[in-house]
Amino acid sequence: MEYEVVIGLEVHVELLTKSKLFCCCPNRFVAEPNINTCPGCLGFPGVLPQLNSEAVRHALTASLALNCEIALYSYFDRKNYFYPDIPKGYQLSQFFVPIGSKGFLIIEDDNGKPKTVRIGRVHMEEDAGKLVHAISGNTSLVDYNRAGVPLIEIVTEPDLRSPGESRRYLEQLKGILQYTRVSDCKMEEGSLRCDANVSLRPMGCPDLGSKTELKNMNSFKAVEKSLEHEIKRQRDILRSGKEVITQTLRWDEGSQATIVMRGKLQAHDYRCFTDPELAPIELTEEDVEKARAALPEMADVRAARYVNEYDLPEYDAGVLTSSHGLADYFESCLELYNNPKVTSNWIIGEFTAQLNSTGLEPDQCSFQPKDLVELLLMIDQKLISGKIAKDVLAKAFQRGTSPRLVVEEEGLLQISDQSELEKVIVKVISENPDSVENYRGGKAKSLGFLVGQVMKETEGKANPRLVNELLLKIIGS
Amino acid sequence: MIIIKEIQEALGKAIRAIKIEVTTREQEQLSGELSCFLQWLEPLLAVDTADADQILISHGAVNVLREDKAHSGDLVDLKKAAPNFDEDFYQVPPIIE
Amino acid sequence: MEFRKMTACRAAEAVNNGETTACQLIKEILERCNVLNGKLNTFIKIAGPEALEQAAAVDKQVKSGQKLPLAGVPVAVKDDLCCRDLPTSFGSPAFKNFISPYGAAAVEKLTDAGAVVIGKTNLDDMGIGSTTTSSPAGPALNPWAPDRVAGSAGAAAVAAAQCLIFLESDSGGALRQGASHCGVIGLRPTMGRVSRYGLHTFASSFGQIGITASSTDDILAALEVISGFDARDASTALYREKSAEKNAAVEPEIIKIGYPTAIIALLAPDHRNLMERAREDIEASGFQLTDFKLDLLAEALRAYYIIAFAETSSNLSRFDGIRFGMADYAENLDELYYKSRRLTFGQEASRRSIFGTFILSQGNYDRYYRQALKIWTLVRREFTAVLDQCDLLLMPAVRTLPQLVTEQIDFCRLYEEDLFCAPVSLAGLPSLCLPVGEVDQLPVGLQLVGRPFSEEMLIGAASRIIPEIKFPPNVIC
Repeated sequence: MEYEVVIGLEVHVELLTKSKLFCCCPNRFVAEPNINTCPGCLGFPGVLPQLNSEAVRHALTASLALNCEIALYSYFDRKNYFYPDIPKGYQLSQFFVPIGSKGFLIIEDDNGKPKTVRIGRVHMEEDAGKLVHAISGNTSLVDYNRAGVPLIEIVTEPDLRSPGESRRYLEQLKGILQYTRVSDCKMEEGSLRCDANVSLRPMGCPDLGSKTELKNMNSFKAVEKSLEHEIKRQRDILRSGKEVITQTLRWDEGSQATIVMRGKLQAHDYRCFTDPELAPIELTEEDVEKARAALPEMADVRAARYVNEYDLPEYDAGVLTSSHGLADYFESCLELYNNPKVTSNWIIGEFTAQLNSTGLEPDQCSFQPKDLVELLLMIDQKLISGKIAKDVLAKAFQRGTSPRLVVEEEGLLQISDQSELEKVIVKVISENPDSVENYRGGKAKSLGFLVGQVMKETEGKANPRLVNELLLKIIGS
Repeated sequence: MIIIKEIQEALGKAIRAIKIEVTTREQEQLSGELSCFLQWLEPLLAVDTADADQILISHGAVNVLREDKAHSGDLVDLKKAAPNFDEDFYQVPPIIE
Repeated sequence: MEFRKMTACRAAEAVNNGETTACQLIKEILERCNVLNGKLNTFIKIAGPEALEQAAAVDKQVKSGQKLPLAGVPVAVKDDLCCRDLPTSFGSPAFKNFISPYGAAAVEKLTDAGAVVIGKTNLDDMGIGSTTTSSPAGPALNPWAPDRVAGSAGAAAVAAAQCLIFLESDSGGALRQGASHCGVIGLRPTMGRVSRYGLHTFASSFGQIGITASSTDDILAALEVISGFDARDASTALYREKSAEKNAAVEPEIIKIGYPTAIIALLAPDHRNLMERAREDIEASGFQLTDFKLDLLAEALRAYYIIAFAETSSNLSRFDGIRFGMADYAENLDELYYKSRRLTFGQEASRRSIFGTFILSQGNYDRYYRQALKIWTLVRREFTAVLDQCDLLLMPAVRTLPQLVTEQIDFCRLYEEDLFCAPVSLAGLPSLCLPVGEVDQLPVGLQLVGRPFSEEMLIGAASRIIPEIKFPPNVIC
C-alpha cells in the first residue's frame, strides 16, 4: 500500500533582545553558568515579572511576517509543572491566546510548485534553563542562564508532506526571521530549535495516523535525515501490519537513528491558567498597521528588485540576498559606489571567501562597506590592479585596517608612469632578444611572455594595459 | 456529587502533580477534607453564570511594558540561598535521560 | 516617651523638631518591644542593632536639615515582606536563615521616609491564614486576652504599642480581621495603589500590602509614603494613570454610606447590636445612610477560595529546594521535591496547594475554577452597582470574637470567618477596618469599603466616625 506522509513542525526561536523576557538579565550566551541570573529569573519569592517591550515587538513582527492574524488582546498563562530547569514551577506562555494565529508560508513542494503551509500559531514564552546530566556522578547540574530568555514558538498545521518540504519550510522560516531581525536562528547554538510530528496514512485517507514526536535535531540536515529515517521506520511497521506507537523519539546524530525517549505519549495536565501578575497586551489596529509597514523587504522581493533595478544576474541576486547581512552590506556599498555588478562580484567572491574562512557575519567584521568601496575606487583609478586588489582585500580584512593603508604600507601602488615603465621594458627586451624575434616572426604568444616578464620585474605593480601598449609601440613598429 | 473513590483517586493524582510528601494517614484525612470542601463549594455551582465573562487578571492595568535594557546582577547573595550550590551550578539529584 | 498615647505623626514631629532623637525613640521602643514579646509572641525577629543603625542614619539626616515625614517612626513588618539584610521566613521553617538580597518596595519607601524597621512579625504557615495558629513559631497572642489569638501579630503589636506603624499583607482579610480583633485601624488599599514588589503572596489576584496603626492620620501619612507606580509591579500602572483625589474634602453631609441590614441580620446578637449602634452613631455624625444588599456574599467567599487555592498551588511551586529554602538528602528528583516541599509547608499550605491542584485539573477546571472566574464578574457587578448608589459601604469585618488559642476549628468553618472580608478582596475594593466597640470586653471592628482608589475618602470618613482608640487594659507596660 502507498502511504502519505504527514508532518507538522514546532519551531522555537530565541528573540534578539538585550534582556530576558521578564527581567533585566542579559539575553546573551555566556559560557560561565548562572551568571545571567537574578531573583526574578531564579523565581525568588516576591519578585514579579516585568514584560520586555522589545520581545512583544519581535513577536508581532514575526507574526506579521508569517502572515498571521494578530490578537489585539493577549496575555500570558502559567503552564504548571515541575522540572529543575523551570525556576517558578511554571512556564509563562501564551497558552490561551497566541499573539499570532492562522498564518501561512508559501514554499516549493517536491515538484517545484508553490505550496501553502498553514501556521497555526505564533506565541511568546520564556525559555527554560539547562540541565547538565550526570554521567556517572551523583548529581545533575542546573544552569539558569537561559531561563527566561524570550522565545516565540511557531507551530505549523500538519501540512508538510516530505522531509524535503520540511527542510524548505525551515529554510524559508529562518530567512524571514533573520530578515526581520527577530532572531539569529542559529540552530547549532540552539537559538532555533525544531520538533517534528510525523505520521503516515494510506493515500487518500482523510484521518491522521498515530504520530511520533521527533526531538533533538541540531541542523536542517538532521531534520531531513531523521524525518527520512522515521518515515521509513513507520512505513516498515505499517507494511508489516503492525501499529505505530505514539511516542517521543530522539534523533541520535552519532548512530544516525532515532531512539525512544519517552514511552507512550501521556497528555500532561499543565493546569494552565492566566497569570494574574502581568498586565495584558492590548494592541490597536494602528499599532498593527504600523508594525506591518515597518516590516523589512523579504529575501525574494529583494532579489527581484536587484535583478530589475540593478540589472544583476539572478544568480548574483540570489546569493546576495541569501543572508540579510550580505544584502545589507551590498546596499551600503551601493550608497557609496555606483556599479552594482562590480560590487556584487567582489562581495560574492573575495569578501564572502574571507567571511567563510573567518566564520564572521558581515556586520561583525571590521572590513566595512566603505573599505570595499575604497578598494574598488583604487582599482578604477588604476592605482592598483585587480589582481593586487584581491591581496589587499584579504590583508585589510585580516588586519582590520583600511585597504589604502595596506597599499601604502606594502608599496603596492600600480606603476602607471610611462617613462618608468619604458625603462623596465627596454631592460626586458634586451634580456629576451629571442622572444622579441619570435614575436616579430609572427608568434603572438611571445608578447604575453614579455608582458609577464615586465610584471615580474615590477612585482605585479605595473599597469598591465599600459605595459601592453608600450611594448607594442617599442617592438611592434 | 462526586463519589468517595473518585475523590481519593483525584486527590492522589493532585498530590503526585504538586509533589508534597504526605503520609497515608494524612492522605486519608485530606480525602475527607476534600469531600467536605467540595460540599462547602456546592452553593457556588448553582449560580447561573451564563451571561458572565471570566475575569482573568484582577488588576486593571494594561500594556505595562519594560524598556529592553540589560544589566547583570550579583550572583553572590543569590547562590548563598541555595541548599546545594557548587562549582557554579545548582545541584540536584542525578537525572538520567 | 509615653508610647501608649503616641502616634507616628507625633513621633516624627518630635524627631524632626529635635525634641527627641530617632535613636532615643528606637532604643526605648526596642526595650518595650522585647519585654512585651515574651508575653505576646508578636515578633519573630526583633532587629535591635539594625534598627539602631537605621535610627542613627535618620538622626544624621534630620541634623543636616532634612524633614522626613516618618522620621524615627518605629515600624514592624510582617514576615512575608522581604527586607534587605533582615531574615525573612515567609512563615516556613525552611526559611529560618533566608536573607533576601532585595527589599520590598513598600518597606524601602517607608525607610526612605525616615521610618525605622524594628522587626519582623509572626505569621501563619506561608503567610496563609488570619489566626497565626499555624505559625512555626506558635501563635501571636491577643493583648486584650492572652488566651486568644490576635489574628494579626502586627495588629497586636500596634495595639500593645510595640510599634507605631505596621506593614502587612492582606488577601482574604488577615489585616482587617487582625485590626478588628486588636482594636486598631487597618487599611487594605486598592490593588495597584501600593507596589507588591518583595511581598511573597500565595494568591497574586488578592494579595495586597496594607497599613495598620492606631490613628487615621498615621494611616494616611504611611499611605502617602508607600503609594505610587513601581515598574516592578505591573498592577501599579493603573494608579499612575488614575491617581486618587488627594485632597478630597470629606464632608459627612455629602457622603452616603450604605448599610447592609440583611447582612447585619446574619450576625450573632452581640455583634449585631454593635453594628446597629454604630449605624446610629454614624448617622449622628452627619453622614447619610441608605440600605444596600448583596446577594452573592456566600458565593463570593467560595469563589475567592477557589481562585486563591488555584493560585496557591502555582505560587508555591517555586519552593522546590533547589535555589532557596531547604533540601533534604534525596536519591532522585521526585524525592527532592516531595521532601523539600514537605519541609517548607505546614498543613494549611499543603492543603491549599493540593486542593488548588485538584481544582485546576482536567475535569474539575470548568466546574470549579471557570465558574469562580465568572462569579467574580457577577460579584464585581454587584459591588459596582451598589457603589453607584453609595459612596461608602459599611460591612462587618468579623463574624466572631478571636478564637481561643487552644481551640481546634474545622478548616471550612475557619474560611467562613472571611465571609465579610474576602468578597471585598474579590471585588477589588479598598477597605478600612476601624474599631466600633466591644463584645465581652474584646474589641470589634467594622469595615468601610469604598470605590477603587478612594482610600483618602475612607480615611477621612473613618476619622469622623472613630471613637477614641482604647489601650488594651491587660498590657501593663
